[in-house]
Amino acid sequence: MLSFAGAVFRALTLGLFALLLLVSLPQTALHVVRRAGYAVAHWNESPLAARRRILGEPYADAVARIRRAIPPGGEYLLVNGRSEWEGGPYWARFELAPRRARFLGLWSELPDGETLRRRLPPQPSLVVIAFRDGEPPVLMDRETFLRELDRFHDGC
Amino acid sequence: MTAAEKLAGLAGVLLFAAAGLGWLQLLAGARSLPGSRGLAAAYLLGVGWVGGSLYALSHFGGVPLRRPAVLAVAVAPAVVGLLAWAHRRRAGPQVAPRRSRRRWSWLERAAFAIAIAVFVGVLAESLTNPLRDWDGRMTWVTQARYVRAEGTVDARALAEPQWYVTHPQYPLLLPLAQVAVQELAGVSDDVHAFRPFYAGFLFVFFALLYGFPRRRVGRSTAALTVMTAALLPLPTFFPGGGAASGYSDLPLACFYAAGLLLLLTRRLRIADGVAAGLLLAAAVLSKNEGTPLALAALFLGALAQLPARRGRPSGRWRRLAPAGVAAVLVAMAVGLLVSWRSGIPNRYDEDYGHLLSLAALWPAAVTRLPLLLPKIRFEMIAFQHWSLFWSVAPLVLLAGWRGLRRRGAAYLALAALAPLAVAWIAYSVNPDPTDIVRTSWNRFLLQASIPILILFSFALDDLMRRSSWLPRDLTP
Repeated sequence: MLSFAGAVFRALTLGLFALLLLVSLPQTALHVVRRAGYAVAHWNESPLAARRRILGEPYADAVARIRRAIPPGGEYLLVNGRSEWEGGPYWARFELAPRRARFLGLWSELPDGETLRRRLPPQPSLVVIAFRDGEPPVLMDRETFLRELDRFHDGC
Repeated sequence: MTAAEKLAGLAGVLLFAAAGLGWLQLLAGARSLPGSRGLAAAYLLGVGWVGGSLYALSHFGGVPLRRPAVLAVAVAPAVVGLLAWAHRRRAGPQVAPRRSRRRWSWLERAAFAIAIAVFVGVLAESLTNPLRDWDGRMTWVTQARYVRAEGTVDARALAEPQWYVTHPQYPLLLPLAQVAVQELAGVSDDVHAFRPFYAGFLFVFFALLYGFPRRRVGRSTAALTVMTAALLPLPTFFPGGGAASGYSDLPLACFYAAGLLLLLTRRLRIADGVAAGLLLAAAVLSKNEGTPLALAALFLGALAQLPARRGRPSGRWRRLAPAGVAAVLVAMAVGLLVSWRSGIPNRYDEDYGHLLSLAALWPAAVTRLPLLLPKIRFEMIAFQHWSLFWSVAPLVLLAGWRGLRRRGAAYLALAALAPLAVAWIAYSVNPDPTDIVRTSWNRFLLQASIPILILFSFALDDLMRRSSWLPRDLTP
């Protein structure tokens, strides 16, 4: 009796294992076909075109503008323009590396412009505001940023 | 990437294989590994050697991380290995026992076709699209850009505390290997020529999963294990840790498992100890978890080499010598890591060094179980991560339990538990454990996946052998 139950259990387990393989196959095949199709379609794509395709044209162009304004060995102040934490600052920092970022925090949690001015070191002079994934980062000079911050606090 | 840049990226990957093949020629034991397993071992040794030696040369010697240094560390073992090979050929023809080659069954052919298709798909992804994952962009590739720009592992962005760098003390072996590919290819940071280097670890993953069980279970079972692994989303296409991402978890899984499996083989030689040491040192330099995992592998490897009570004590110590050699190399890697970290102020990091204490660990390790286990279960049954694997695998292990009585199975089970133990310690002391379970549990499972899948193959083999109704082609 026990050996019969064991045989049934083994058969059921092997059936489930076969099911695992069967249900996984279509998803994997879809991945492979999609990736292979992309590879063929974009076999000789320039890096800029690939970045525009993946990041979106506005985002890629905004990053290119900021890169022109800040040299590769340069520095910038980085602000999270959202009111809650998202990955936007990571992605902006990644796109702008090896430029070094000094992180100021969430826009909504920053003090007014005058208070922040007293806390900031003399350099860097440019500020990058990062938003959510896909939303282009914004570059401004320090004075404009502090004015915008004052306007935000006045409006609150 | 343009076609030329794609080729340059692939050439960078071959550089690691060339350096590793040189090492294989020098290490008498590992040289005898056949075909794909030899290539997989060569790739791991090559990445470990190139990345590790660049790390040490840059930190201790101030050598700039530029193309000449990359070529020197990669070509040196390749040339010495070639000379060793030529010398052996001159000394006399190698009389290697030729194994009789059996034709592959339809099942083996199907499994290899699926594995190759998946590897090609991941390679196609890496050659076509810029990086889009989370940790790759947040940590690893960003760090690689800082290091490459300044040509040193002690880059200002890491060493000066005011700069916004997430996890600045994370070990840099994989970013350095990435820099090596980019320097060799002579491409800008925007060209993702380094991505095929990460994809290469999928080939290693499959080769380890076929190579180790193949001598212990039937070939059909080993092939089915590879097929199962190839159909799992997480190690392959999933952007949060698989071969299609820029995460370090799959490379760590490969270094850890390869070092461990080598130490578990019988009649270890000193050369095997050197190879295992290089692999485990690479694990130390790949991720924070690498150090405890390397120590676990050394402990289990030494335990496996200890003979039964019979035999002379001197013989016992001689058998432990290869593991001792591996331990020396691991200690050197830990020393390098400690020295490098001493100049890198930690910030934007959980800082487990400060969180960890007995008071923090106890009783949280138990009281957090009811909170975290449902979340862990949720991660494991999510189809997009593991398909149905974690619903089926426990049943296979249970139904094929006799297969788990094989030699080495206990060590593999302990090795599979090591990354999960590291995870549990982290979850016990972290102030926000539910969030890190969501983002990290699957990656700890990935680090444990090779020992787990090998145990799975042992059980599956037993299960299939005892199912006499199976067609003959399927019976191991």
